[in-house]
Amino acid sequence: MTARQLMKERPMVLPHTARLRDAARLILEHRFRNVPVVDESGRYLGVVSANRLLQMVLPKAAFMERSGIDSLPFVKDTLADFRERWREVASTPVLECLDTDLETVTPETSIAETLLSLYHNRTSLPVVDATTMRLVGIVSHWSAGAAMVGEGSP
Amino acid sequence: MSPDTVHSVQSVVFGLDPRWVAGGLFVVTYAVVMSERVNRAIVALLAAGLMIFAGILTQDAAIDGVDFNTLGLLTGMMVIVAVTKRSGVFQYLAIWSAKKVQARPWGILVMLTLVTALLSAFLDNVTTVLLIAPVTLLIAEELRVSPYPFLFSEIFASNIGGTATLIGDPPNIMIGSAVDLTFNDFVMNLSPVVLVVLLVTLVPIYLIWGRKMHAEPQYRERVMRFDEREAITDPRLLKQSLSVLGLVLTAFVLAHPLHLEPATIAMFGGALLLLLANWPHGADEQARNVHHAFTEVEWVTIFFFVGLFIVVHGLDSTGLLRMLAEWLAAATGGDLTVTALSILWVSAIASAVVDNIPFVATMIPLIKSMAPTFGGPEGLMPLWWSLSLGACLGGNGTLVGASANLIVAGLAERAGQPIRFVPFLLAAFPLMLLSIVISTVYIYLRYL
Repeated sequence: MTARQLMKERPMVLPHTARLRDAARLILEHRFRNVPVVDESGRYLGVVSANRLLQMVLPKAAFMERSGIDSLPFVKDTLADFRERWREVASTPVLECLDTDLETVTPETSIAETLLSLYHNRTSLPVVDATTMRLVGIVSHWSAGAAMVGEGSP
Repeated sequence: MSPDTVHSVQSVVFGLDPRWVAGGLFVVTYAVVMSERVNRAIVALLAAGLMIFAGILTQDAAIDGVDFNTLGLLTGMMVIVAVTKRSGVFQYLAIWSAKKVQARPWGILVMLTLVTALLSAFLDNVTTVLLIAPVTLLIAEELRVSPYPFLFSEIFASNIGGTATLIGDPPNIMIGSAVDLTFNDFVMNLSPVVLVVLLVTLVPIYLIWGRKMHAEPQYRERVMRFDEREAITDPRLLKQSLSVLGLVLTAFVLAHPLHLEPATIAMFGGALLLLLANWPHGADEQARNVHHAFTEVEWVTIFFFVGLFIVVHGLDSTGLLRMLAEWLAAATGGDLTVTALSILWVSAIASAVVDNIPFVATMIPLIKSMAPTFGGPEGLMPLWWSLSLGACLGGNGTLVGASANLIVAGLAERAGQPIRFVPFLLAAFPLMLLSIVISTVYIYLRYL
């Protein structure tokens, strides 16, 4: 029993040439927490997460450790201000906002290890072929959960 | 630092002259600290141990060399700031001053420069920039203007403002403690020239950046909408912190008639603030809060001081520094003007390149040894003010001249607006020299 049984095959991906607006479209349409990004031969490069998109429209000063700005109660920017920010960052290449520190597993990783990695990631877990480095599937909390409670195969 | 030389064991290993062993150890320590390959606290503590192993100092003599007044003052103030900043008062101050000038960029730059200078006169420079630079980045981002001129001015303001008082910058703490100078002595002797330097520095900053600064009205409007009152996250803590800070500053001013040392005042203030902020809480939460406040103390700096004090004391106890002082006095022909201005300029250039803390730690016993040449300790006063001005202001010369500079550069880097070594140098070094020229005139007219 391995990660292969938990994963969803042929997941939706973004090409490495995509922009943030493409990532946002997929994330909003499918309610993903992240979307994997692959190069032209299908090799896994990283993910763009919904949280990262959020970070892009918030002030950078709020994301610096030791900065002391860990809350923004005094900032009164309107929704229109945030829309403007989003318009400004929407054409940023996804490669500039890639999260590469997510844990990944191979299709042969054991179920326990796969579930633990999913837990560590707190978001969907890319399944990457160990030799070709191609993205072969995604284990989400939903695909793993469905497999576990036995509601048919994922 | 303890008064005159403590002649301790001095039965040095391998029958070598203790002066050369201590001198060699000192030079190697300095070189390794400058190379930045090994953390400076580790280097200083190892070197301190070697001073003892080599037989130059006993452990007791080494501990005599540690200036606990400096360490207590630094630690106490760091605890007070660690607690105070949780109230949000520093963000309040920065936002308030930005709104006072209708969020016009040059106005904000001037206001934040003055706020930084004022705060760093009373707080550690690194702490000050850690409090002000992030809000600055936030405001600059809202205004869609480059944060560079703001951060540049804040670096300068932190080092200039810190020069004005006993507690503003470690060199002053060390000098004050070693020579028994009071808080008021520093204010009376240094704040006039510091004010001039600060205001004059703003002129070239205006010519280089200020006159070209512009922010669109709709972005200024965003900053004007900031509600500084909501930055105050804990009004109760705010009242407690400001009361304790007020008490501590009053005590510094009255320290002389009250016969109090700065470390006593700062440590007592820190403990008092911890008490006020914690007494209603249970034991677990108290332990957590107190632990948190202590983790904010810059222990690397504190332990660097401990090691360094021992190393310099070891060097001093061999008589090498006195030899050097006599040689220097002979070289300047015992002329006070030449000596004072040489100390000012050499300190400034040296502090632009190396950390001013070890430099000042070495200079203090050296200058003390010059007392006979200049008619006793009283005659040395111009030299102490020259050392302070040179060592504190010199830190502005390069990006590595003071820790506050590096901290700001680190924050700017993470905000995607890196401050590079050479461009900083090209603007900062001439500005630093300008401040030393002003100091030269001041020292000459007032003391020589």
